Amino acid sequence: MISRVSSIDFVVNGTRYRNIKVKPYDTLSRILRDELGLTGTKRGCDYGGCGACTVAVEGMAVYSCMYPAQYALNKTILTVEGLAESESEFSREALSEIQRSFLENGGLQCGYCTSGVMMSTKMLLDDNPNPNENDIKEALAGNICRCTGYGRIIDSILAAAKMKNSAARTK
Amino acid sequence: MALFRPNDFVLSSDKGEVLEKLKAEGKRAHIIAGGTGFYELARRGYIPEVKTVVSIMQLGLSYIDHEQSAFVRIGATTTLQQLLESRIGDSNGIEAIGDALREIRPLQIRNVATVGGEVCISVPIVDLPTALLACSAKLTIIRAPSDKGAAEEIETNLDDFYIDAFLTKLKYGEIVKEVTIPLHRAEKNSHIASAFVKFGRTAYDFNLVNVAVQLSVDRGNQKKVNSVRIFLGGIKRTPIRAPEIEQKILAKVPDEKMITEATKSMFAKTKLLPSVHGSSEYKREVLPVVILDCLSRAYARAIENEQSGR
Ligand SMILES: Cc1cc2nc3c(=O)[nH]c(=O)nc-3n(C[C@H](O)[C@H](O)[C@H](O)COP(=O)(O)OP(=O)(O)OC[C@H]3O[C@@H](n4cnc5c(N)ncnc54)[C@H](O)[C@@H]3O)c2cc1C
Ligand code: FES
Ligand code: FES
Repeated sequence: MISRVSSIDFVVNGTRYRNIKVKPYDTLSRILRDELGLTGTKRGCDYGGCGACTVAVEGMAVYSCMYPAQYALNKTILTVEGLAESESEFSREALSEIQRSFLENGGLQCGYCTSGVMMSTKMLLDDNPNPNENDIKEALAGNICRCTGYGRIIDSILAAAKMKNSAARTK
Repeated sequence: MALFRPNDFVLSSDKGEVLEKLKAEGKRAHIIAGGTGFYELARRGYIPEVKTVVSIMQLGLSYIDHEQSAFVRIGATTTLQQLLESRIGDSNGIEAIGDALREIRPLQIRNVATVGGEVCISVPIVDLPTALLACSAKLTIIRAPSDKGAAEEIETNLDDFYIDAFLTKLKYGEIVKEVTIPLHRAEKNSHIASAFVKFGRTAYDFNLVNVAVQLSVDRGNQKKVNSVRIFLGGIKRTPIRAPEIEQKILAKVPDEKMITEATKSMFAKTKLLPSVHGSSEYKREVLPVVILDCLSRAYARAIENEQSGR
């Protein structure tokens, strides 16, 4: 069946959105930011060069700046806002291990790349709970950071893996 | 620059209707697969006249089928990551495919970009086509029938597909349906292997040059090269074959001097495609090294395949 997609239903960070209007040239990042107000997903280069817009679609890291909004139809999306356990509560405890680890290990400076970096980290740790430095570099190949020089980012990810693993053991 | 403002985005599972739509709209319609190259084309103003974006992602073209042991058929909308994870490109003489996929970064792109998109975008910076060419890939193209009836299917060698940057033999209304690559299980008189090497400024960058080689090596003591296909990417507007180098190593055991001299003489007077990261002169300097590296890897793999009986 030929179907012209002009609106989509999808799930973002556990919330079901219905009948969100999309234009034929819309990408997922525009919908997330401008229609849903989820501005944690950043717009940097807008053509696949920086990674600031990284989100997860069905558990896979994608650049939302070049992901057709129509492809989000009936999909499950995770953005940086969905990493924390509670969106409304701004306490350190409510943050995910990844967020806490970046905070505690100085994994960010200006923060512009950080939501994308943390989404790539989330996808990496879901796949590989004990990454080595090379695994981290491979997973972050598509995330550019102008500030940190990456050293602190790598430290934060190694620490996040430890935190997650020890949390899993104590559960 | 004209803004990209299409009126329609069509996402359909009906092949016939998609083909009819593409045929009826001609240059006002444009196919989108993963979209990773499409938005770049759109934002740079290359396709301002497009009014309908036609997605092929729901046409059921996402498959990897190698039940017929002589070849593998890869559906056009199979993502690069799906192909990489299938590991089909890691043996049977098509190791160049696995090498190329691992060199395509980042994961955000491999998760979405498709095999058909890599083949059809026709830009010098992509990697998979060079490897597919070395491995003698064929394309199956589908198009709407001229009068009512089943859609037509045409087969073409990838060797004949590229015309120029952004230009292939595809006509309006045609879709690449699948890519077929011959598989080489252990053969009687020779062993076949391949390799792909990319040279870029950083591991994340597009290539400055890339090279893919598939060769067969004589069984037994001699270990001479029986047949060879060498393709080079990033140095012209489309990937090119290197017959002069192939001729030099046929029926011989290749060595460094032979390969370096053959490469230097082939490109001594040719201007290679410059980019912001590498002039023609620079590419001419690195090319013999990259070709040598790639040929050595393919040759070593062929010998290894013989020893392991693969
Ligand atoms: C930041 C970035 C880095 C990249 N790095 C690399 C790299 O290192 N190496 C590499 O090889 N590639 C790389 N790529 C991917 C490459 O440049 C293309 O974007 C990708 O191959 C296109 O695939 P797609 O499925 O997204 O195609 P789309 O963007 O959807 O389409 C690309 C073109 O092909 C046409 N098309 C697509 N499928 C078909 C089909 N089945 N039949 C007919 N026409 C079709 C479309 O009409 C369009 O013109 C990178 C891309 C980006 C954005
Ligand atoms: S904004 Fe998407 S990659 Fe830069
Ligand atoms: S923290 Fe500033 S760009 Fe990464």
